Amino acid sequence: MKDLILELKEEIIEVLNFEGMTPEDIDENAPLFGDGLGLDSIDALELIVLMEKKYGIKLADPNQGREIFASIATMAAYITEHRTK
Amino acid sequence: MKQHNVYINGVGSISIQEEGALALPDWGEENYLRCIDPPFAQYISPALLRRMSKVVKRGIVSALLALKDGGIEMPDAIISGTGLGCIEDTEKFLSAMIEQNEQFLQPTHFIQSTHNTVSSQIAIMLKCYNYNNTFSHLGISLESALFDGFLQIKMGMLSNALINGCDEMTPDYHLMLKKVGFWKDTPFQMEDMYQAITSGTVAGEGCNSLLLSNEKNEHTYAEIKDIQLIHHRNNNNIEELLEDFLDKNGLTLSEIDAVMSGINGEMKNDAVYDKLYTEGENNPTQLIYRHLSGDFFTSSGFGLIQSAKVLKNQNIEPLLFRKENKKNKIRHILFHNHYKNSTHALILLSVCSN
Repeated sequence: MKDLILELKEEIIEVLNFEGMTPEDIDENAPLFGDGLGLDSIDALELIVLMEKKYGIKLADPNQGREIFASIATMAAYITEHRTK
Repeated sequence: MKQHNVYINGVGSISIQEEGALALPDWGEENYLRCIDPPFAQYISPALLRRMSKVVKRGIVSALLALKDGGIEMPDAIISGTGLGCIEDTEKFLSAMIEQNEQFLQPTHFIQSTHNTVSSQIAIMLKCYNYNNTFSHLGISLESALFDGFLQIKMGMLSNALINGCDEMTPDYHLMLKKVGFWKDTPFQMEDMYQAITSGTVAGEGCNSLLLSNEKNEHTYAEIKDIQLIHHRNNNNIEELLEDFLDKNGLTLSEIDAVMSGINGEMKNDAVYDKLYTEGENNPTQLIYRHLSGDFFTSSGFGLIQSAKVLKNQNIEPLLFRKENKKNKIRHILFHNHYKNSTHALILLSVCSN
């Protein structure tokens, strides 16, 4: 799980273009949206694409997103359980 | 209907030139130079910055510089011209479509890849809900945007307008044009840019902004007396059209102090200007700028800014001269840019005494 959390942080930094940020700067338990990283709806789309492209997870129910994308830790837990890649 | 005067009251530029006096660029092996970027984080918040490609960042900063220079915070209109739009993001999006079999496409590249991204991002940053438009007409994109702003101010529909010309060069696009011989072979002699004996030009990029206003004040650089865009057909005689344009403004070519033209070192391109401005008598002083900015669809923005500075400061930087024919006060500059001799833009700029 630790490796996956680090991998997710690196992916998010790259995909969402957080220039100058390192994985250590991101708290895996902090909220991704609102406070914490302060992501918005376009970032949510980027994360959905990332989940499908990298881990083979297709999110069918948009309401699931709120729980899955609560933090990097919740994302990692969901990926661990549902990944097909 | 009362017609208003139109003045250039502010300028901003992000180019391949360092700040300060103009310098001859070192074109190097690829004759391809990229902009010297300012510290973007000083102008744009990190949250917005991370989604923006280079051309968007540069366009915003040049626009902010022009607004600051002209002492205006909220323009009545934001009008941009671009030949290629946000080509870098377009390339990323299209490449991903091919590489990933049209799946998993990132929304940000798509959203940012449209031609009107620069104009809209400036508006979002300024919270400006006024007129917003983008023109994409190859080599007269910027002039089309300028013409729109000019006409609306002239007719009293706007008090001021922020005009932007933005284009970026990418390695792939440069390579494609290289294959069709668009660029000069290297190494080339700099003299070839002043009096072309070979084909091809040199690649550049940049974002240039002008703040137009109906008010003359302490910020004013020059007055835009008139603009004419000519969609040149074979049966048009450009010499006659030029004469008509000047005549309409009560001038003859001999009364023009300097012509700032789009000479770019490409033989066929430059021959069009030479025929108009070197073969007669009492030729105006010839000024050029593309050897300093590089050639790109909206490089005329760089030339317009240099022209405005000449009129304001009554001083011509030595590197702008192609041929000096007069030494008296510079009252009128004719700005002439053509694209493949199929479209011409004539802009008459005049000095303003405050």
